[in-house]
Amino acid sequence: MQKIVTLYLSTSPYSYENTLTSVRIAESALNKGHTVNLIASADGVYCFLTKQKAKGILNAEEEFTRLIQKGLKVYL
Amino acid sequence: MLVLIKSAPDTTDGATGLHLAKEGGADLVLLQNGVYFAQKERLETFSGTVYVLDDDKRLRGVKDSELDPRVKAIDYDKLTDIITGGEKVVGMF
Amino acid sequence: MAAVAMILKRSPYGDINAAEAVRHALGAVSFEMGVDLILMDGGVLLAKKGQDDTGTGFTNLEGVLRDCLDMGVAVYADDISLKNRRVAAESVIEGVKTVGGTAIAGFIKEAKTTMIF
Repeated sequence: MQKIVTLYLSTSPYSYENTLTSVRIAESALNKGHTVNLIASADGVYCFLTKQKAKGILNAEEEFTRLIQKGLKVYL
Repeated sequence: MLVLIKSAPDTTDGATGLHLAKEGGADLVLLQNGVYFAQKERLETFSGTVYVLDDDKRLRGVKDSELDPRVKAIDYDKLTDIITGGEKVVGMF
Repeated sequence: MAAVAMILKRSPYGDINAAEAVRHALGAVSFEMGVDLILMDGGVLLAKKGQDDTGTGFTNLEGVLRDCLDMGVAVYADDISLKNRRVAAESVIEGVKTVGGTAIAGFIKEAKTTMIF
């Protein structure tokens, strides 16, 4: 049964593991056909800035761009 | 109810998450630094089902031999099934 | 006497501090500065063998810590913190020295600069 999964992300993209956890859960839920919302608040909004240059760690911009194309709905 | 714990056992958040899960008769998912709760004798009298995210456990070098035998290792797909299969998800502590 | 004593108190992967500590330790030692990397509290978990980053997207910090050791960083782990976090002696990466609080206080006292992560 399709469900709505809503994630709340409030930490900056590279200081904590939460970005990766959110990406992985969102991707898995999207792959299973669920509706996935992500609410970015406080420092979480920095995950959605463009021109991020992170290397050696998951690039938040690239990952969330990919997930948005798969149907992730993001609210800042 | 499902409680997600991402904080280590030596943190207030981690202890609060475990306490809430225990008092609420919830199941537990351990991820990020919360995976250290999966080690033997950390869960004390907790009686619900306990899952640990395998990626996060492996990343920290926590071996299967260190785990409480009640703990079940899961991947993100199984975690999604558990989250979407239940009524209420609380966390992450 | 080390020019810099870097104290890592936070456990690896949950936040950026462990990655920053080893990055700056490598940077400092590559400029031929003497570096003591002191692992305390959750930081001792960085010294745990067998970290497996396969499929996670993370940089394996065990590998970077081994690079630090190879480059000449002196790495110390607090014995009480290891005990409290159940890291057995055989699980500690080779080259990391287990020391007590008195020795750690000495390293910090003697270092020219201290950084805390």
